[in-house]
Amino acid sequence: MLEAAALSKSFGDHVALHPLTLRVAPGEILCLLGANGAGKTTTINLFLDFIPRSGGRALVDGLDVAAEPLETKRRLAYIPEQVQLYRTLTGVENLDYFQRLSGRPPLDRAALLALCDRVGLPAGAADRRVSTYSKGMRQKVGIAIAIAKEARALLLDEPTSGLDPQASNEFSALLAVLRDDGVAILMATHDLFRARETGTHIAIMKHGRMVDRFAAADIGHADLERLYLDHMRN
Amino acid sequence: MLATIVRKEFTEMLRDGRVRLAAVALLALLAGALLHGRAQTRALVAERAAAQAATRADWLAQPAKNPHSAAHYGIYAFKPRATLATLDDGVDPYVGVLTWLEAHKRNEFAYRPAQDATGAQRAGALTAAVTLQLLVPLLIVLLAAGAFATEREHGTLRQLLALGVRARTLGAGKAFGVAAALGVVLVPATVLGVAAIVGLGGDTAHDLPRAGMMVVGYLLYFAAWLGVVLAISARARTARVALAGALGLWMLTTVLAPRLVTELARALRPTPSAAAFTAAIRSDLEQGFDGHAGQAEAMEAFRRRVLAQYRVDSVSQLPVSFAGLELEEGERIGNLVYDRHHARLWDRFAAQERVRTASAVVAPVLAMRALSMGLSGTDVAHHRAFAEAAEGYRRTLVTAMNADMTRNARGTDFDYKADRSLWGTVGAFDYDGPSLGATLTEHAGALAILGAWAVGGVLLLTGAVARLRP
Amino acid sequence: MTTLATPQVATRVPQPRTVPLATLLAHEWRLLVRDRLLHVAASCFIVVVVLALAAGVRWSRAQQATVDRLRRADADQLVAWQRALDTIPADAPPPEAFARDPRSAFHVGARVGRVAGLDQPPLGVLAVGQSDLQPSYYKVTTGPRQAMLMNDEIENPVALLTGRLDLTFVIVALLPLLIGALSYGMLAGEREDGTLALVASQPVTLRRVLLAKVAVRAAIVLAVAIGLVAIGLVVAGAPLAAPGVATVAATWLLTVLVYAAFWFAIALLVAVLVRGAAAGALTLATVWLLSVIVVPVLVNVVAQARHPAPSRTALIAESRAAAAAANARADTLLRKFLFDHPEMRAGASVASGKDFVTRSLTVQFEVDTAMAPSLAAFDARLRAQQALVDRARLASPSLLAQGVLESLAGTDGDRWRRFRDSTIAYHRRWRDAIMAQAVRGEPLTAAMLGALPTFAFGEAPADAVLPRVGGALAVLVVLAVLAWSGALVAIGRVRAA
Ligand SMILES: Nc1ncnc2c1ncn2[C@@H]1O[C@H](COP(=O)(O)OP(=O)(O)OP(=O)(O)O)[C@@H](O)[C@H]1O
Ligand SMILES: [Mg+2]
Repeated sequence: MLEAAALSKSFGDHVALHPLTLRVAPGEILCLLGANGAGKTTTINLFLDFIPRSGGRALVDGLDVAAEPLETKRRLAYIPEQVQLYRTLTGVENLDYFQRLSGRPPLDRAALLALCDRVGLPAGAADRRVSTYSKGMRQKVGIAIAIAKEARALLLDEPTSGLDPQASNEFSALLAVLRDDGVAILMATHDLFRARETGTHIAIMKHGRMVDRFAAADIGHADLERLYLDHMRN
Repeated sequence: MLATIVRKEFTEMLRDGRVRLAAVALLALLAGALLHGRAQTRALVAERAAAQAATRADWLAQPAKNPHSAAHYGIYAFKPRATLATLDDGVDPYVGVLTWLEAHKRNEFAYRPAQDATGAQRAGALTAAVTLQLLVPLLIVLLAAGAFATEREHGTLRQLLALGVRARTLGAGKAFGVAAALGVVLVPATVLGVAAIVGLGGDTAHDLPRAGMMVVGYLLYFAAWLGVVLAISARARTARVALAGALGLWMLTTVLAPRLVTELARALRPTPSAAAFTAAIRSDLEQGFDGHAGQAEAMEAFRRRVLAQYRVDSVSQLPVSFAGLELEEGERIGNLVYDRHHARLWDRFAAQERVRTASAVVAPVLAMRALSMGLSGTDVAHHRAFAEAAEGYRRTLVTAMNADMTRNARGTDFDYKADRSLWGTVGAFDYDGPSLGATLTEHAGALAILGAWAVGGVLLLTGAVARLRP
Repeated sequence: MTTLATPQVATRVPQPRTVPLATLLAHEWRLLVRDRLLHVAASCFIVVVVLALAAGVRWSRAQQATVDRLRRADADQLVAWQRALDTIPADAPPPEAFARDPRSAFHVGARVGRVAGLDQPPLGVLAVGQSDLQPSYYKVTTGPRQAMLMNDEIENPVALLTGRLDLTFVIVALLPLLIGALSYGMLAGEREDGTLALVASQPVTLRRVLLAKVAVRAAIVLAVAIGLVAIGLVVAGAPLAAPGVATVAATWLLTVLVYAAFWFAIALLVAVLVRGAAAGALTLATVWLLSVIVVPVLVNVVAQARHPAPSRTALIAESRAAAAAANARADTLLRKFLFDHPEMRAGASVASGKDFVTRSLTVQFEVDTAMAPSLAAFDARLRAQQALVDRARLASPSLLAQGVLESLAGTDGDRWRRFRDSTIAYHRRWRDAIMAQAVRGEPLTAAMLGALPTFAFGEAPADAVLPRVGGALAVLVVLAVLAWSGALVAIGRVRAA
């Protein structure tokens, strides 16, 4: 479960995130929408303790991320916008390494290959060096890493950027399964359509503030787009 | 278009705090090196001139004595300090500063200044040449390694090429931009250097053409580095790969290669030990060599020859001093032996130099160093020229003494005392180093390799730019 | 599909608190092995270590061979003389003063003389040091001391200027480069490649990850620098079994370890404090440049400015003046000498001072005596310069390490200076003995030849050097500890973003 309590961040004079309070319960997918520079990545970075916060608290499973950075990371999985992997290692080797880093028991090769297959990595690619991968293929390994961790909370920063429509669709299906398993998911995205399809809740951010939040079921696709544009205009 | 790119590169570099710091540090080091070199030149020129005058005065002040005693008293030759040694003192700290010119013997140069210095000396001297040879290439690496690679990494290269900027123009713009930034350091340094040399009041007609050739050499050297580093940058995936590659090249070619090549030269053309060298000379003198008889036998044959020439039965009947003749014959035979062995040793050093110069094909600093030392008058060839001149003077002096004895010591031999006026009949030792032409011939190989490096650098750059990928 | 992704919210699966270090090490090892840079840098370094060791062995053996040859020639000469003397009848007429005759004290003592040779130190293969500038043998005759000390070993001056490719150079100058090449991208490289974000999102501290990176690199570097050198010493046949030598060799390797530790701390500090791999590489290169080249060169300049080496040319003028004065007073000097040495007066048929040999020996004796204070003052100036440099070594860890490594190898000049001093003492004994014979004017006999003084260098025990390097080594340790403390403090502050 993810929780922000008056969480804020400034870079010098510039306030990137005004005090933000939000909660993502188990089985919920909160999609963060917002213009470039609205503060989505900043929010996710704060949950990861990648950057020191300026105020408030970020909690994972009730634990403060700044106080217990390791314990909270054990419960988190993260997919960045650009998944970057060790170029000289193969996809499976990367997956194996991050699986071991996550502190969970290592998986055998068959299980690792099964995971690769499951996220839609083309057959044979798993044993090739990552330096030969396309952006989408790297993204898929990133997703596999996140799944393998069996985390209770997922932080996704435009995870489907660069994925082909089919892979994107399969990813949405995967998220739905995780949601049904009780995982709390926070996802920054620009894809209004998928946000409405997969998300249980939607939040709109602007200039570092959450300006709106509602359940996805409550709104149609056309309405969502209009609402979003309205927020952006004024 | 080109001007725009050059201006942008130049401005960008000058705004970089690291570049400014490096440029100021380098300029300070260069200025310090020049001041240090100038102070040393001042002191050494005065000291050596005074010593040379003193030893001449000692020679002239000898009382009336046997000429052979005077030849044994001898005179010292002090190695003069070249004005351009201010820029590059080359091997000067590692060759003796003086040699004693006396009868019978060709002495080695004694007192290498480095022996009177601490171990820290071996880390290198603070000279303008070392700064230019080692540190300016490093500045070039700092300025140029990111030229293309950073733009590639940041994606601006993609944009530039999409705009239709010709890769060639871009390459030329970057090269001239870096060159302009280098000029900020090198132009004032050159002015300072020329001022330092002119201020020393040496023979400017001798020094300035050599300094001019040095500038040409260094420009070729820097052009080579600039071309190579930019080419690396144009091929590298990221700035850090370009930088690591260029730094690695610098370390390998300027730090490691000189020592590696020197070991190679020693292994291919070993230097004899002093013990072996003097033993070989002694053996040749005593036992004879190449059909020449040994000393005792040769002198006996000489005696018979002289008696036959003057048609007399014993040396006491000679109209001249036989002791004088004998001494001169001894010199003649000795000189043959000394010439033979010294020529062999110098040739051995020259062969080692050829190995070093040939290796400049992979490490241009070796060619630059040789050329720089040669033009400064501080290379082995200049030392050899001075050693030969001093030896020539020794022979003139000893022969004059022997001739006087031959002429005037009949019957008295070693009891004869020459008048004090004899000492002044031998002129003072005067030395002119090799001409610029001789030096350039000596280092034609190094100059050619530097030129090839400069051309190669430019070709590498144009090749890399022609295949420029975003 | 759900088998792998079924988090049990209610039951907390007990998980290991930390990622096993082995995982991090194995991963880092794999990354390095796949990195072309490691292959290039490490194989270059290994080749250079082997070459340097070979060059050291070659040099050391050639030096020793020269000294051995000279000693053998001396011994052969003595045997030949003694055999010749046995065949000369006792009533044969005495030799002329300048004759090449073993009975002539002039021939034996002034013309031929003896060799004083310095053996190579047991660990000389580790450092050429100053041994290419400092002769390892002197020809000792009754000639003036200054003339004896003028004789240098022949070497191409360009080789002296360039310096040698010995192990000490490899350790002092190249080892930091290897460390830098392997470490400059440790952290910033991963940040720029983007992998750091994924690593940092895992339950492992960056501190642990970084230390694992350093550990793997240190293992590689030390295996090469220490392992290879240790093996090389054994293969090269260094006399490690001799008393104390193994301890000195171990201290040498320990110094390498401390020096490497210092540079790893610097690499770690740069990795943590400098953002960007390119900037990190530049920073490391700058620190290297300062420590290995710029500071030593400046130290040298300062030492020369503060304690300029006195002028050798002035010294020459002075010794000429002393010689002239002594010559002028030769007769008085000889009389005084005989007055001081009444035991020699008995057979002194030459007391008139006419005998050239006796006369010239007396004059040389006087010159040496007259010059002694000047030479002592000269040496004192040089010692002051050296003392300044020894203090200034603190400014550069590389100078510090170089000093320790060369001292331990026995080629730093200290041992040579002791050799030179005992050669000077031997020169004095030789001259006195020959002078006594010459003054007595009796022909030398086989027994007298055998009784002439012989040179023996009072070699200090191998481990006598340890106290001398103790201070510098301790300073190096302190520097390494300080750098590591700084690095360990800074490492806590690293962030992924
Ligand atoms: N390291 C930093 N230093 C200074 N300002 C920063 C830094 N990182 C982010 N910002 C600022 O914080 C604000 C929020 O940035 P953030 O990356 O969170 O936006 P975002 O919503 O993720 O945008 P995008 O949709 O483009 O990914 C921006 O105004 C940005 O300029
Ligand atoms: Mg973002």
